[in-house]
Amino acid sequence: MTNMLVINLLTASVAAATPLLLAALGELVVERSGVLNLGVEGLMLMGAMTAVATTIATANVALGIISGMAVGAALGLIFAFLTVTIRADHVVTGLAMVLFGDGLSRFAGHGLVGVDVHQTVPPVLVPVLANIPVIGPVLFQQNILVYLSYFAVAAVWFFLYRMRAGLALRAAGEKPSATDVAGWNVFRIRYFAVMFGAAMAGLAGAFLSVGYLNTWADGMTAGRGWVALALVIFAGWHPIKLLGGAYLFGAAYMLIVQSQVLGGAFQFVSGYIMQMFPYVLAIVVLALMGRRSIRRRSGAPAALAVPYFREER
Amino acid sequence: MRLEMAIPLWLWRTGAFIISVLLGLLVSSLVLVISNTPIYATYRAIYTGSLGSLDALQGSLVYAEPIAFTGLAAAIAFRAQVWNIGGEGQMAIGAFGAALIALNTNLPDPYMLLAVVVCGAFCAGFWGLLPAALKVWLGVNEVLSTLMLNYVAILWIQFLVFGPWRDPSGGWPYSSYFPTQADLPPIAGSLDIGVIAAPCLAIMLAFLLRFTRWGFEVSVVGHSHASARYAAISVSRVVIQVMVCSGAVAGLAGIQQVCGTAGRLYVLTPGYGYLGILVSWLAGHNPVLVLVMAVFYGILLQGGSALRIAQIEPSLVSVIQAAVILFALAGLTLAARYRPRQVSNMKARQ
Repeated sequence: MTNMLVINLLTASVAAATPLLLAALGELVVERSGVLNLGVEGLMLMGAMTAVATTIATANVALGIISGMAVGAALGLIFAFLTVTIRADHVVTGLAMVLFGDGLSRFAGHGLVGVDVHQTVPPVLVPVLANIPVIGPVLFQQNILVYLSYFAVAAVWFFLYRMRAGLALRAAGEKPSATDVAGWNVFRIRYFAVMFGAAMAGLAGAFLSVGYLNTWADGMTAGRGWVALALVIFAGWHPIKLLGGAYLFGAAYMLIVQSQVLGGAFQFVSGYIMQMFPYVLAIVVLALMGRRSIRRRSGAPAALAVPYFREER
Repeated sequence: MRLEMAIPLWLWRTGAFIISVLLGLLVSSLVLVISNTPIYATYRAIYTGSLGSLDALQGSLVYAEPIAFTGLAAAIAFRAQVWNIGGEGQMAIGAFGAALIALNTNLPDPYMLLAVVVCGAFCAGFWGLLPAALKVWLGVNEVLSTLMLNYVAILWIQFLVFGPWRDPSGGWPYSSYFPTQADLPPIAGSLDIGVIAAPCLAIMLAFLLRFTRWGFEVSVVGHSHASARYAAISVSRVVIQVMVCSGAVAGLAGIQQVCGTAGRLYVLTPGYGYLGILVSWLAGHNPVLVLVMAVFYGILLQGGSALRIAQIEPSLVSVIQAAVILFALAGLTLAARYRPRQVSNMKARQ
């Protein structure tokens, strides 16, 4: 009985972690190229709203997800234009993007609030692997976007550490002038990175709306975009460590939802106090990371949020 | 022959800002066209609702008040290049501090308000101290810690107004009303003393930052930590001072909201803290300009609530705001890069 409960909790944690993982993985690539996109929350909201709207209009959830990613990438293009080409301040532009995404998703989605989405991403059992005790139900009886997130972690790792283009991307975040001299186009790298990250944020939003909560509500991401940003730092800008961090936070979210079921001490704590947990955890984790980074290098790209001027090479 | 005009810098920046705002409105109009919203009726509703009458103008100033405080809070921190994104949470904790005194004591008339404001600012300052301490001693990035603390603060207010402090007579998420001694003195109509306090604070800050040793230290830390250390300025001390001040000023926005507008504690309308950051940036972190931008934003928000009356989707105004901000951001960045020839240089050449 207790075993079942734990397995259910872990299964739910993996699902709750997936939007964080997808968004954070995208942001990791963006930051590795030297751009800080604080607009993840707004991009996720736009992705979530677009996915619901398209899914309801076309009765096709795949189209919904793709359109969510496309809208994310389009907003990423705007962000890249402002920060890479015009060289506006990354922090302020990111905040403006959050407002933009929040406002536009509220406006465009005001007819969709609370409408149930009937075509959702179905759970798919992975043959053989789904039958492994504990690991099977937790990792391999999820929906297809969860499997995509495993694949995405591996793909990003392979790209960053085993491909020449990935090396160039990391170099653009460390020393853009040297990357430029080596014949890579820093602007193009950063444009691609930002658009990839924004599309991933759109995907994370789409997962939340059509693959997890199955509805649209104003501001439904509830700070997950910001938590994704904290996760990137927590992971020391490394995709594999990100996996662990995302699941830790997924479990934290699940503890809140399940606190009544778990009983014991949990039922005496107010739900509002419980909801503080992921945010406090993020701060504690950053503090622990910070202590370590005083001794060692934390892994932050050297040229993070520094605009690149070719003329000042 | 090249035509050279002597454009003063302030005019150049103002011009860039106005052109950007107009472009932003143009792009917003595209959104209106796509969504089949009548353009003229929308803009007219925003105009009459925010500037059209004395009442409307008052409404705009009511919105501008909290943004002025959060904007000033952001300006202090950003001058030192400390990225305090926590105005939202510091504002909520300021409101909490105010309610703590107002709901639990019954002080006589002038002391009540004094205690409320001091306690609110103190609590909010403490909420600013937390991320500063984490940054200075543990190297925690303040952008993220202040953000996370925003959520903690808002959840704390929710806990109070849905739980222990809930008004026993009403089901709404509000606390009981504060005693009348805790109300901010009204000036005219719906305006309270905050509309005078904000400009006073802005002028004081402008003076502090421009003419005092402390203001100079803040600017040096903002430009370069290395030069600050070379000049024997303790970066840690300045960061902590700046964050505590910034938090306390943001707290004033929360105090104004609960003691001026609502008269009780509630879950504060989200967004003023973030708007303060944008307002401060648009104003180039200049305290007096922050007021101007806060009024500009107050007009947009009041116009937005007027849309509700005109039966137009009110979230439209947040799209317009964001479009305007994005254009202003691009415009002001470009204006700072492509400066006109300085007037003094021109004279020297003649």
